[in-house]
Amino acid sequence: MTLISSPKRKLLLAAGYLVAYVLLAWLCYARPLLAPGITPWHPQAGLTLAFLVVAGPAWCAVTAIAAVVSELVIRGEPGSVLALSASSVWIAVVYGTFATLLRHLLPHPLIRTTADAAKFAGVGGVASLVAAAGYVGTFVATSDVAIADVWRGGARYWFADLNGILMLTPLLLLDGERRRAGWRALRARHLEALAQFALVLGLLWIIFRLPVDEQLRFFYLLFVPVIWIALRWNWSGALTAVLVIQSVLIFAAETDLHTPRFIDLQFLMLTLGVTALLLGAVVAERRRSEVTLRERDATLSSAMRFAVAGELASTLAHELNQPITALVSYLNAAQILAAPRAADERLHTTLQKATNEAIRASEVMHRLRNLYIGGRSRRELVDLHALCEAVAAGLADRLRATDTKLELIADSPLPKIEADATQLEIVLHNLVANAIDATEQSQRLDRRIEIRLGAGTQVFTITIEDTGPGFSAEVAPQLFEPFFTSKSSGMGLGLAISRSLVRARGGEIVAEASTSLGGARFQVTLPFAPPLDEDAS
Amino acid sequence: MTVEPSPAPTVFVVDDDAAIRDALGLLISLKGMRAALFASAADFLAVYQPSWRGCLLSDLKMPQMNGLELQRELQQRGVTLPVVLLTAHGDVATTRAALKNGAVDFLEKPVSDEILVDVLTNAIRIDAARHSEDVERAEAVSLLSRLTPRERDVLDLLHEGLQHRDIAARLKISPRTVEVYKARMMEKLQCRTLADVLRFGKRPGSS
Repeated sequence: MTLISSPKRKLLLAAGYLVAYVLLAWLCYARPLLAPGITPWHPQAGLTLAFLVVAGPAWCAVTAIAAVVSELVIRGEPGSVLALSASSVWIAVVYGTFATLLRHLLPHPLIRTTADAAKFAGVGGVASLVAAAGYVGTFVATSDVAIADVWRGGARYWFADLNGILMLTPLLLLDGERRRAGWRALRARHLEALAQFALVLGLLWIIFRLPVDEQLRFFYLLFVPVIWIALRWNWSGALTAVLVIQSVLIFAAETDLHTPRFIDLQFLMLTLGVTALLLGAVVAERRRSEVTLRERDATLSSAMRFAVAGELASTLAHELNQPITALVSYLNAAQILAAPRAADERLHTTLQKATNEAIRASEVMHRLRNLYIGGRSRRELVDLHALCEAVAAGLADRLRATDTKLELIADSPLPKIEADATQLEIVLHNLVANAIDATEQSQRLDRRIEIRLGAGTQVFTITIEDTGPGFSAEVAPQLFEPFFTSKSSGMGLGLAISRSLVRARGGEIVAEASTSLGGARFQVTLPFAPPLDEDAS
Repeated sequence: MTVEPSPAPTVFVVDDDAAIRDALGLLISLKGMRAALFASAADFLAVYQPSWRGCLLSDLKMPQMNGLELQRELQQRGVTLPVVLLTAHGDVATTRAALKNGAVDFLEKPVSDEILVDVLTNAIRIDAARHSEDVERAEAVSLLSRLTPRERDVLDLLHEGLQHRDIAARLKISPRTVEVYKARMMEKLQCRTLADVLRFGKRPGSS
């Protein structure tokens, strides 16, 4: 939903809205009921709600004008000037109010989750009910109407407005980006869309060729394409399909085709509309969370690969630098030893060249190491609690499979930490994954892992404890060394990587015995302020 | 306190890598310096003598006690031996910590022999300067300890810039006696002029 702020554009929008309102009212004027002529479809109600959400409730005066104009254009002389103006103002005020409510209730863009869709349907239901009650009320007050007709008319008006709102408003409020994404998808899968469109039209054609008393039974076949479309195109596609069905019904009404009672059709459309909206929203929500999960997995595993390569390069650089250092010193010594016996000048230059090559080898190693270390950290504000939850979600399958309970206890309020979220996640993931492995090794039945998050005066602390067997005092100093592992599978880089990443952020990680759970306890401390950039060079 | 004749300056090399230890030892001795080799910080601390002159060349990354911890330990023991640390290339954070902690210098591995000699010579010079200051201070303390309380009072009041007559009044003795104390005091401190006397700090440590 795009909220428009420029007054000039709002005026244009209001004019467009006025024209579209009258046009829709004229197009859908079919089978009027009672004196005010209540028609079974009010797409203009959906248009109005969308307009007022975008333009703001102050523009509801335009709605009142639109209502009056369309009444005059379509029905000619009004029955009662008072009733007409009162009902128009009522509708305008009601939709202005509920548009404001929608703006408060729903985020931008309009419908992202199933809860959003349900809220929208609820607001639409109440708004149209209030509008219908007022509208019918004014006519009851100004003319003689039978009480049974009041109920019929009120229900008809209510469903007419509600159908218009459910089908049209969400589509009208789609923001530009999503509309473009929709068109792109449509171009890419146009054959499928065409098949679905043909199926809807085919079903309708068959249904209208049936005798009237058979029609209603077969109308429920329409759920099949609507559900199919909702699964494939989420709610925007499904609502479009429902709109198509609705248009055909209006066409049928206007061409005097034989149709079932309109109140039945209204119910059918209502169920179709709600199904399309909710099912589509579920599909959209689910698809979005799948995409986020996939992206997270991809980022995490690529960062993990990078960290492994960095740790390998770093270890290799250090281990090889030792013999190279000895080599360079030996060669320097050899040059000094050779100097007094300088029978051949070439001996000296050869030793010098050998020294240079050894130094070059060392430099290559450092460049390789810096390639993985230099300037990779990003700085962002990270919610530690949310990050821990994400890590737990990522390991949920393993936790379930090993029947391990994970508890997350956090200080509140816990300020956000300035760090690289992905690197921090790698650290947490490694520690929690290790804890799961550990609890699995132990014979204990109550497998538990506890994550504690705290903020002191200068540092954040993350403590991860488990009910595993813990580690012996002998291995404690080696725990964080690369290639040290207690597992049959695994490279022994997890803790080494974690320590490198924590230290790069200016923190420290220590391992000790867990006092509360009996296994191992890893504590990460991270200073509030990240280190200066040069340290990472 | 008596001052022993100081032994020749030595580079004490502490590195857990045998090849590096050996190579550095060879190179240092070929450059005309004495080298003593230790495989760990603990080995060095076990045999360290306060009379040792020279400097410490320690690797930063070692199992058990690393270079930084050794440096801190020496500081706690009041050892003034200058420390030079061998670091991996680009380990800025640790290097900075070491320098802040009082290391005189650091060397990146692999070490070029010219830089090695420069850094070690400089460290040894720092040690010599620190040592001769220590020696002078020790000498001054021992000379001052030979003064009687009265001679010491005269020295202190001379420091305050008082004339003989004022000193006599302050100490309630005759100006003549002041002269005598002053002469004896100058003789004990081996000074010829008043300026020499004033070079002795005012009460550097009590006698």
